[in-house]
Amino acid sequence: MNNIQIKKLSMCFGNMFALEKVSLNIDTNGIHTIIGPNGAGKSTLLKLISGHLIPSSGSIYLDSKEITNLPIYTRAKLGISCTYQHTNLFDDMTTIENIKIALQQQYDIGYKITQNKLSKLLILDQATQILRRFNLDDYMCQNTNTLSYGHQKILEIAISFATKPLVLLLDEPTSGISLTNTKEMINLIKQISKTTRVILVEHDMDVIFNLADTITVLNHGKIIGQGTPSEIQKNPTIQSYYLGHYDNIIT
Amino acid sequence: MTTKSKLYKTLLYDKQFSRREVIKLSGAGAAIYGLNSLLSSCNTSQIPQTTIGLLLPFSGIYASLGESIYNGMRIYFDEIQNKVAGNNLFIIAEDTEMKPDVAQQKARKLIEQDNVDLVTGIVSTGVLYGLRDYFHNNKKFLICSNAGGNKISREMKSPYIWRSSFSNWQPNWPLGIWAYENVATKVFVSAPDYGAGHNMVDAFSNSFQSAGGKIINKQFTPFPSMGDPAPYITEIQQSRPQMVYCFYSGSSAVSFINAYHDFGLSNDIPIVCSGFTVEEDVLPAQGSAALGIKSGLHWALSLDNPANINFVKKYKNLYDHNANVFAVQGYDTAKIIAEMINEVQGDSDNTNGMINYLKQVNFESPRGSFGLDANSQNPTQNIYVREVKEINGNLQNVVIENLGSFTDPGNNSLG
Amino acid sequence: MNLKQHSIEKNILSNKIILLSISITIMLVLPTVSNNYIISLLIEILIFSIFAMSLDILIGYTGLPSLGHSAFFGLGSYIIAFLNSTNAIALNVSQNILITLPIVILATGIMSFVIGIIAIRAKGIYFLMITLAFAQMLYSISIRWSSVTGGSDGITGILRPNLVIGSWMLQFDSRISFYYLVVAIFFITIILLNQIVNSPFGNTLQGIKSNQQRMLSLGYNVNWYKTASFVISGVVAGISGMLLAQFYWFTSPENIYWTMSGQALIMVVLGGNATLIGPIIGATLMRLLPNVTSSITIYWQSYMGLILIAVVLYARNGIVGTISKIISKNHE
Ligand SMILES: Nc1ncnc2c1ncn2[C@@H]1O[C@H](COP(=O)(O)OP(=O)(O)O)[C@@H](O)[C@H]1O
Ligand SMILES: [Mg+2]
Repeated sequence: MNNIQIKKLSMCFGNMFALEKVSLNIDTNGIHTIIGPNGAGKSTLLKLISGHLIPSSGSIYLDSKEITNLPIYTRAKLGISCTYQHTNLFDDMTTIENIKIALQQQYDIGYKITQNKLSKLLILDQATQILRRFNLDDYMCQNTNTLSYGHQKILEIAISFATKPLVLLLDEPTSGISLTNTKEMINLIKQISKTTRVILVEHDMDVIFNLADTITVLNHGKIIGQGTPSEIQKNPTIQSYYLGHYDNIIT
Repeated sequence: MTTKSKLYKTLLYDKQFSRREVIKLSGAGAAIYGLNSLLSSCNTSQIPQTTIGLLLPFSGIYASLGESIYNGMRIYFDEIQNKVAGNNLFIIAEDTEMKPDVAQQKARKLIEQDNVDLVTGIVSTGVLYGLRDYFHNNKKFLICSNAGGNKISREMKSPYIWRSSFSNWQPNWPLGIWAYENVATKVFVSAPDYGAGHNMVDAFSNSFQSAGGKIINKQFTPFPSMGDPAPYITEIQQSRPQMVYCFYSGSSAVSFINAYHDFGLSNDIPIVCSGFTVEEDVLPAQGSAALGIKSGLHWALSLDNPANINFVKKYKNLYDHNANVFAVQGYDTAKIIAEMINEVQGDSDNTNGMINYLKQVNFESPRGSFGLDANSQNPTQNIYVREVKEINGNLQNVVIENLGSFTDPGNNSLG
Repeated sequence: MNLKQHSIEKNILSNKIILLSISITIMLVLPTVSNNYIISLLIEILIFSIFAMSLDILIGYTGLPSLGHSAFFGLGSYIIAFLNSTNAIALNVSQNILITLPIVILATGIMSFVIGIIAIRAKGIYFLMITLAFAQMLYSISIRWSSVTGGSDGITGILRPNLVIGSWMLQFDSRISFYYLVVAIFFITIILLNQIVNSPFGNTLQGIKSNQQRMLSLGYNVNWYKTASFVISGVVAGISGMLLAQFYWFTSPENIYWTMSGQALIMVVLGGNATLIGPIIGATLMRLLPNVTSSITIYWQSYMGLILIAVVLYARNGIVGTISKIISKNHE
């Protein structure tokens, strides 16, 4: 269940291939990490899976259902949820309103023009629980644009989490945030991965080896290696590419 | 109320006041009065006076027409020292902004809040038709001093709405026969695609065709803005007619006639048109491009009759520019209103008395012999053929023929 | 926190109910103490308030800046002219508002669905242009297709409605009875729209205004919601157009012209968007101001322009937004 199958996926921007005939199967539970240098095509891959981009060729399947050309919102309904590399929140709303708007879609009441008290309370309760779980409950009634960048990034994941996704795509969730926030983030992602398949684009090697169950290495739009963290560490191709300096793999 | 009365009194006597100031102050008075009536709705003192509500565009593209009509009215009211039926005469002017919904609001204000005895003005047919049911249903008098839509003399007639200006049919129907007999037998017709355009074209075509003429093409251009006239002039050029009939007004009249001249057509294909196309308000901007154009209208600046000579002179003295047909309409309207109020001794509730008076109106106007027709509730008046000529370096519409007196048929049988 | 917020919400709700009942009472009593002309002003203000509120749904709540809203206002006015007027053009279906109103709703609903489904694909300034284009197209049809629309002359003789249930009949012919009809429709509209914007659906619309991409990735069919918002707003605009035509006994192409859209847009921006109450204040000012001042100064439109520039530059949220900001600041 919740397998993502990618077949010969290519993405062209003009003459430039951001991804070239990438084939990839994600069919085991846990956290799947995609690494590679800046410009390798990691974000592009996530965007193709979430529907923010439509590939030039190739196909994507979710449990043998083709989703290659489906619109973003249909994929979201199927259970594919994404966060953005740069935060993308409802800036003019409070933290809890951000969660509520995700929840009302999750409960499929987004089209209703009446809402009974029970459902209101239920959503309020759910939203509070989620915020508590993500340690954001202190900022519940604060506008999101007043939150710290770290909290914004956590909220970013909390919103996606609220839609109860089957597959969660995370694009560099720890970039630009403080060390304490990073630690918190690692814990959160670990927790989430117990119930949800996570595809994680990351550059922080600590985070990667802390979290990853499998790793895919991208370079110039092509996969140059795949395996468990220890396999990747030992892989001679990757070694030769990066001369053993993790730092260079880092974006 | 008394302050307001004083305001008008001084203003109407003082010729130095500009229109803007009159309106400004009259509005202030009205506003104060409005406030009063909000606070206590029983404060209607019975000082004998006659108040006329004036609905005209004082802003927007037809502001100059509104101003001309108002100027014409002032000349007449000055002649009678602003007194009718022994009462002081007051005018409350309101700007319609050329919008039917604004005109609605202003008409209600004049009648219901300012308690005017009657309303006059109205430049555009859209506004006139929009107000028709209001005046009709409330049995209030409206003397229209410009808007020419045929329907108000025909299927939309109301006993309370009379027109002192013209119907769109009026200047054009006689012109059709004349053009057939004097200019050419085949014509290309061009007008903007809206009510007045169709009214004028229908009238001209009806008499032109019944005289034996042939219409080779009818061109209706986009309204309210024609845009670049070139494609329309090209179409005319390509169909090589013997004559062009057209109706345009305001800025489209200028751009159409100038483009026609620039295309070099004015020497080869004569234009016969509705008088508004080359009336005094647009003629200076057209300049020599308009030379030789023949048009039909119920007035001309150069008309040689005592009333006109007197009026034109007074107008020029007062306002420092030439009179135009709209000013004449304002002048005549003021006369009709004043004499009607005299007839009922200031009692504007005497609707029968007012209607009976209107039915037999007859006097020598700057337009020549002038009367109101009881059937169409619209003038019976002369229609003149005029030609744009240069006299002493000035362009002028010179009367070349008086086609005689015409009355709107009151139905659509003649176009 | 949880409880506190809940009680705040409850408080706001009861305040709203009190406010609503006070204003309804005022509206019902007002005619007894004011003259005929004031009533006609009130009728206009209420009708334009309905129109402006409908635009607020689009602009304020969904973030779709339409400059073609007059299309539906005008459409409503023409449909009622076809349904019920003494004009030769009319089909004279019925004078009963229980029959005509649903037809107006249906027709403007279909039209706004058709236009909406195309227009909502454009964003920002392009949405503005495409809605304007549709409205101008309808305007041009209303002028050119004169055998059906009466052309630039418009249509006169539009009748005010009655309400017939069985043998029981209410006539809204007189100004005062028509006033009460408009008041009723105004309050029904405000209650319905208020319900809508505070419902999950309203939250969805505001989410779209705030961040359309995020809404998509949460699984919202954004285009569907935008179309729904477009239809709701179009229908309400159509109802207001119908009322104006019945009040004036007249409609004309001016009701479809872009200046009518512009007028509504100014009402929304001036009063404060995404407030519903703002457009009502905007409509009141816009309809009253020329009446009180236009004679005092013929430059009122220029002053209006200056005020608008000031609002856009310094008080983005209009009168209502600015006032509530000041109040909440003082609370802190
Ligand atoms: N929308 C776009 N238009 C053009 N080029 C793009 C676009 N998005 C990404 N690219 C290019 O595609 C390549 C891969 O980008 P991306 O997937 O963002 O890399 P990263 O692995 O750093 O996330 C880069 O060279 C980038 O410049
Ligand atoms: Mg990236």
